[in-house]
Amino acid sequence: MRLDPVDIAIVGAGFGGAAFAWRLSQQRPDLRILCVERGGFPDRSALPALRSDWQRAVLNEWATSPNLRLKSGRKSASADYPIDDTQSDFKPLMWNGVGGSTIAWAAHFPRLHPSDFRTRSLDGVGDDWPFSYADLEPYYDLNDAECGVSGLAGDPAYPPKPERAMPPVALGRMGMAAARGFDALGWHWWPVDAAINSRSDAGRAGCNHCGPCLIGCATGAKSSTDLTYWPRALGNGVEIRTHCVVHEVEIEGGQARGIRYHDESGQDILQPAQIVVIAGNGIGTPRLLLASGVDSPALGKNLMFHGAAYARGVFREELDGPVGPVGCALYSHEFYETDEARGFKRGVHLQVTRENALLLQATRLDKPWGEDAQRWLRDEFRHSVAVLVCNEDLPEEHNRVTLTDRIEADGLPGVKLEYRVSEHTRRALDFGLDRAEEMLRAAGAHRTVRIPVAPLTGWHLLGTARMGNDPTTSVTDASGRVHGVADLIIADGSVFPTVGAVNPGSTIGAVALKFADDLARALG
Amino acid sequence: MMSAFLDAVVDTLLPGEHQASSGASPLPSGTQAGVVLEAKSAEQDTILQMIAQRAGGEEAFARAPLSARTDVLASIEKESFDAFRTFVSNLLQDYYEAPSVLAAMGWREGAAQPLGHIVPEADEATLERLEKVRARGPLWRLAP
Repeated sequence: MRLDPVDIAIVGAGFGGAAFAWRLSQQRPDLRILCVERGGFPDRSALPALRSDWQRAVLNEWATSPNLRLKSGRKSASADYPIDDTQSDFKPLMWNGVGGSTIAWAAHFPRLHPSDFRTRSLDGVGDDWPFSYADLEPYYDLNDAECGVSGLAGDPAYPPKPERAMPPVALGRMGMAAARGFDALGWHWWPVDAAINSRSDAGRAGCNHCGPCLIGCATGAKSSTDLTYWPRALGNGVEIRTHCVVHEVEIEGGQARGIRYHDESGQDILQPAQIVVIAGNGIGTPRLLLASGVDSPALGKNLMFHGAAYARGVFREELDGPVGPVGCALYSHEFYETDEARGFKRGVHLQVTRENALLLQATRLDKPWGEDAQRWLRDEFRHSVAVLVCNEDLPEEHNRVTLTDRIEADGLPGVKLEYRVSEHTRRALDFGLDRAEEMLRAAGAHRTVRIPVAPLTGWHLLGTARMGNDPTTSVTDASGRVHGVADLIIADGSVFPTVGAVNPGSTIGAVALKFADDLARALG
Repeated sequence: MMSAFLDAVVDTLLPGEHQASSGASPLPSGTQAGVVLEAKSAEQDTILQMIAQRAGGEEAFARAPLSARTDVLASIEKESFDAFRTFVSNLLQDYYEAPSVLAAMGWREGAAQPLGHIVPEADEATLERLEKVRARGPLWRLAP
C-alpha cells in the first residue's frame, strides 16, 4: 500500500528520533513529520517494579540484553530482534520501543569534554569531530532543560554549565563513603548529573529511590523520551506510528524517497517522504541502511561500546543496599584527560554506582551456588560500593556490525557484531581498576574485587555511521546527512566519530537537536 | 524422581547458614525457603539424570554428605556448563525472592514501588570535601 507523502519520515522513537522530532516540529510547524517505531509506548501500570517478583524480571523479559529477553521465552514489551554477539566481548544492550533505551537506562547524564571532540589534534588518536564542544554546548543546555537534570553546577572537570534544574540525587551512605576515599587521595569527585527528578519537576514525580531503574521507572521520575520529548512533539503535531517495522529505505537515483514498513497486521506499506531520518542507534541504523543498499565504506565499521570494568569494595560499615537510582552517586574525572605517563592516550571515567538487587547480585557471582556463594553474598550485601571504570574506546574498523545471510522474523536480515577489547582499552581499564581499588581502600574497604571486563554493559552502541568530511572514511557530514544519498539523515549515536569515556545519552540528544536545527535552516 | 533426591539437589545448591554473624537470622536452606524442584523442561530433567547417574543413584546422592554432593554438582557443572547454570538460575530466582531469604538478608520483601527507600543526603563533612574539589579550579583541557 502506498500512502500520501510526508515531509519527514523518522525511523525510531528513541532518544535521537524523539529529540529530532520535537526540535524540528518546534522550528518548522508547517512540516508534516512522521515517526515510525517498531515497538509501542511503555505501559507504566504494568512495570515489574509494581510486583513482588520484580527481581526475576531483570533476568527475563526485562533483561538488559535483547538476546536474553528473547531467550527467556516470556512476552516482553520490547520489540526485539536477535543479535549474533558470539564474536563480541561486550554484549549489546538496548530497549526497542517508544523511548528506546531511555526506558531502561540508568539516566547517568554526563557531557563529553571539549577535548573529546579533538582527539586527533590533541593526542593523535581517533578522529576530530566536525564540530566542537562550543558548537554543541547550546544544544547540551537545551537538552538538559528538556530532559530535566538533577546535579550541581560548578564542577571543575567541565566548562561552566548552567544551574541544574534540581539538586543532586541523594548520595547515600555509599556515596559519602566514596567521597571520603576520593578526598583522602586528593582526587576529583563530583555528584553526577542525572536525568532523574530528585524532586517533583515538570509534572513528573521525584525519585523515591526504589532501586530498579533498568526495568522502567514506575513513577516517571526518571527521564525517558516517552515522558519528555514525545508528548511535546505530539503536541506540535508530529505523528507516531507504533508497532511498525521499517525494512527498507527507498532510494532512487541517489536520493531517499521514503520508507517501506510492515504494520502490526503485517501489511507492507510504502511511505513516501521528502526526507528520511534514521535513528536506530549503532546497530539498528547500519542494519537498516546496509539492508537498503547504502554503499558507504565506513557504514557498520568502528563500533564502539566504551570499555567497561568494575571494582567493588566491601566495607564493614552498613551502607545503602540495592536502592536507587543505580547510576547515581558520584564520579571522578581525575584521570579523564590524557597523561602519556600512564601508557595510553585519553582517559577513564570512574563512576560510583549502587548495589544490585539481591537476586542479580547472586547470579553475577563467578560461582553462584553453594556455601561459598552464600557466604560471599552475606559479606557484601548492604556493605559494598561498586565503581564502574569506563575508558575511551577508540574507533577500529574491524569492530563492526554486519548482516548475516538469515532473514529474521521482523523481515530484516540478521545482524552480527564483531568486537574485541583492544590492547589500548585493556591498559586503560587496568589503570582505572587500580585507581578504583585504591580509592575503595582509602574509603575503608577491607576487601576489593575486580571484574576485569563487564560484558553486560554494552548500552553504548556508537560509531557505526560516523560523521566526517571524507566520504571514504565517514558516513555522514556534520549535519548527519549521508554522503552520496540525498535527503537521508542519521540522528543517533552511530554518528559519533569518537566516544569520550562517558555515557552518551546527553550527547545523542544534543547532536539530534543540532541536526534538527541544521535541517530547519537548510529548508529555509 | 524421589523427592528426597530433588530436595538434596536444592539444598546442595542453596545450603543456607547454620548461623549468621552480627545477630542476623541465618539464611534458610533452599527447601526451608520453600524452593521446590518441579518438572519444568527436558533440559532440567537431563541435568537431574546426570546428577543421579554420577552419584550412583538418586538415593546415594540424597544420603551423601554435603561435600560429596557438592563435588558431584561441580563435576556436572564442568561438563555441561550452560545447561547447569540455566538450571541453577531458575532455582536462584525462586530462592532470592523468598520472603524468608530477603528477611534474613535484612531486606524488605514485596514490590519495589510504591514505598521506595530513604537515602541520606550528603552530610556536612561530605559537603566540606566537595568544597575542596571546587577550590581546585578547572581540570578540563582546552580544545579548539
